[in-house]
Amino acid sequence: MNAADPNATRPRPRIEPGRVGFDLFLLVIVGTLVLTAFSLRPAAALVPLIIGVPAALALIVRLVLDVFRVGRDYRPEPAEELDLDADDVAHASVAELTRAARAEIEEENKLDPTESGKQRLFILWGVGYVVLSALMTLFVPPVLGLRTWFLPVAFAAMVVILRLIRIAWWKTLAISAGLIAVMYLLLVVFLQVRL
Amino acid sequence: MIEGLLAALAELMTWPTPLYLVVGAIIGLIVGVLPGLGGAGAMALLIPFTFVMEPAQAIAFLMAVGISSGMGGQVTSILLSVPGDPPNAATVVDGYKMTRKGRATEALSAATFGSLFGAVIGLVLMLAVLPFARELVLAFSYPEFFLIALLGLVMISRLAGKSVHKGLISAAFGLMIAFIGLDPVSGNQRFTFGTLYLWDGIDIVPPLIGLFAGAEMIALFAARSNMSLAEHITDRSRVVDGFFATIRNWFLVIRTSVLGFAVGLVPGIGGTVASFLAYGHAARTSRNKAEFGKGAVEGVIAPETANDADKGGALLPTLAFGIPGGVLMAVLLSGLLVHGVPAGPNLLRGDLHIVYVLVLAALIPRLIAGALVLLLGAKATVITKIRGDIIAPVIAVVTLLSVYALRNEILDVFLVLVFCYVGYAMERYGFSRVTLLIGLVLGGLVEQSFHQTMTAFGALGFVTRPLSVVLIAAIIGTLLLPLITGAMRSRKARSPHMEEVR
Repeated sequence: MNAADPNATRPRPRIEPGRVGFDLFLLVIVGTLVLTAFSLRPAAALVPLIIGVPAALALIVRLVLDVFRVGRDYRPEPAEELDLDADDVAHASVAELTRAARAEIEEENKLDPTESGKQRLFILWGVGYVVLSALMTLFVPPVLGLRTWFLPVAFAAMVVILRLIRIAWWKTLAISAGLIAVMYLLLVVFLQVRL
Repeated sequence: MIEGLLAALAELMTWPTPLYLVVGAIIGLIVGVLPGLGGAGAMALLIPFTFVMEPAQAIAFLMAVGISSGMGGQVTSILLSVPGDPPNAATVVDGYKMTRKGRATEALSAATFGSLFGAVIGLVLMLAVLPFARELVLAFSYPEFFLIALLGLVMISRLAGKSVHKGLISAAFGLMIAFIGLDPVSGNQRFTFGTLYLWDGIDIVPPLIGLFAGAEMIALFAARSNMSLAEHITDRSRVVDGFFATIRNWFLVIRTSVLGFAVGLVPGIGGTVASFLAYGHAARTSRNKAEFGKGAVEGVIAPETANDADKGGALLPTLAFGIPGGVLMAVLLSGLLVHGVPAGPNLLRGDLHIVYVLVLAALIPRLIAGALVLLLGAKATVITKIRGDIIAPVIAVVTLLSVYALRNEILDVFLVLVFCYVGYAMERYGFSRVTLLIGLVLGGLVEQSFHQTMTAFGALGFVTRPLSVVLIAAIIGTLLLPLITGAMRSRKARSPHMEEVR
């Protein structure tokens, strides 16, 4: 935004579905617990209501802030960030150094689009692995004397993810088979887990 | 105290505990060097594997992993200009410049000895303050337990992130999740929605793994692996150079240790702030100010010393009040709970043996990790060649199988996934994962002490005892002080004098 033009308006950031979705997720859980608490005996409901009602209200406020894009998250970042240059540090105040430390932590969490895409792929893969294992366990009789499909599906899941990141076939099979063999020996043979 | 420490040392030296300490130190170093995976995440991942250990062994092992990861982080900060963990970021400035000037070994050695001295001073200070904390804790009754838990949550909400609003939401969400299960007053089921799975409440392990390890595995999978050792660097320095540099700067070591310890005492601040403050302090007070940013050894010693002394400070509120000083301590606290060790006031009321075990477990792995860092030197960076996108799925499979193996419960695995999403979204949208975990851990204490206070003292019990009043004042102060100082600052900025200046 040009500071010289007072009429210029800063483009409002678009609604982030992920952010609003997470607010809703928290609100649904807290709201459900609060509503359920009203049907409990007073002694059992007292503390959950003391915590839950303000939490639900705070979440509604959070949701409104995120839907209408107001609040600290949507203010422009201050132009001057303390760069960890030695001259700056020698003259920086405690507050500035604390800000620099926090900025460093935030910097670690920043993602570029490629990283974001890879993260989504990994999340989908993880969810797929667990859901498929559970569904197979429910509907297909397990094999090899196992009680669940977690181990066999893990082999398939490893092959899929390693091939997706373009690991050579022989390495993919070696890593997947090695991992499953180690886990079988460790959990089933040594620790006698009913896997 | 000496007898207690000796007994703890004897326990830690009894086979197979030394093996666990060594393995923990090696794992900690590896995760510290690897980008994306931090000490807290690794500790969370390894909790399922500690179920086969005795409680003291498990705690020592987890401590070894968490503590050594900081030392791994300093290796990449100094040699690759990439901080392994955020607390190592301040070391990058002068550490990497020293490497470029052919003083890599000196920088590694100074950082290692600074860490060791910082850790020792931090832990000595912790042990010195512990008796006073114990006296305080022994004077506590139900209202104080309730209020100290509340104070811890408010402080962490206030300090652990940018937004207090989101911090308080995280804390409340953690508490609400902790209330699931049997009601402590009547023993009736509450928030179980008719499922047997929720009768015992939410087990701490799946949320812990989901919140911390899950989000870190996702980060590890996507981490850029474009690090490379500064090429063609000839290293002309020796380990003794770093050692003597640390000894020469003994007063700086003491000052930054005390600073780190003090920062660690305040829940929610953590080692990153400690190391940045120490770097700023060293730069301001050094006689060689001009050298800072160009490879000053004090610029390496100060942040690493403060970062490790911070752990001693952070251990105190964790053990005394059950309020963790940072993420690492939050995961450690969960580890203590999982192994049936009563963290918080009950720990100090009873036998202090586990406290001494923890103190020594915070020290011995540092010696092992320090020796490894100095022995391996630049070779340690070979670990960064391991591809995060290969390791992450392997760790994910191992973790999910281990979580299932703990109780043979498929729903535990789904719970890990749910908390993975929660942890990932919290990181992304500025909520505090650590505050949620503390809420989850302290939920039982909050509710129980609330009802005990109401039964024993009535509602006035919260405001009639002097200690309670002090704690209430501290809670209000924590919430309102930043608002008051902010308002005063903006008023000062708008004063006529400032207008003239403008």
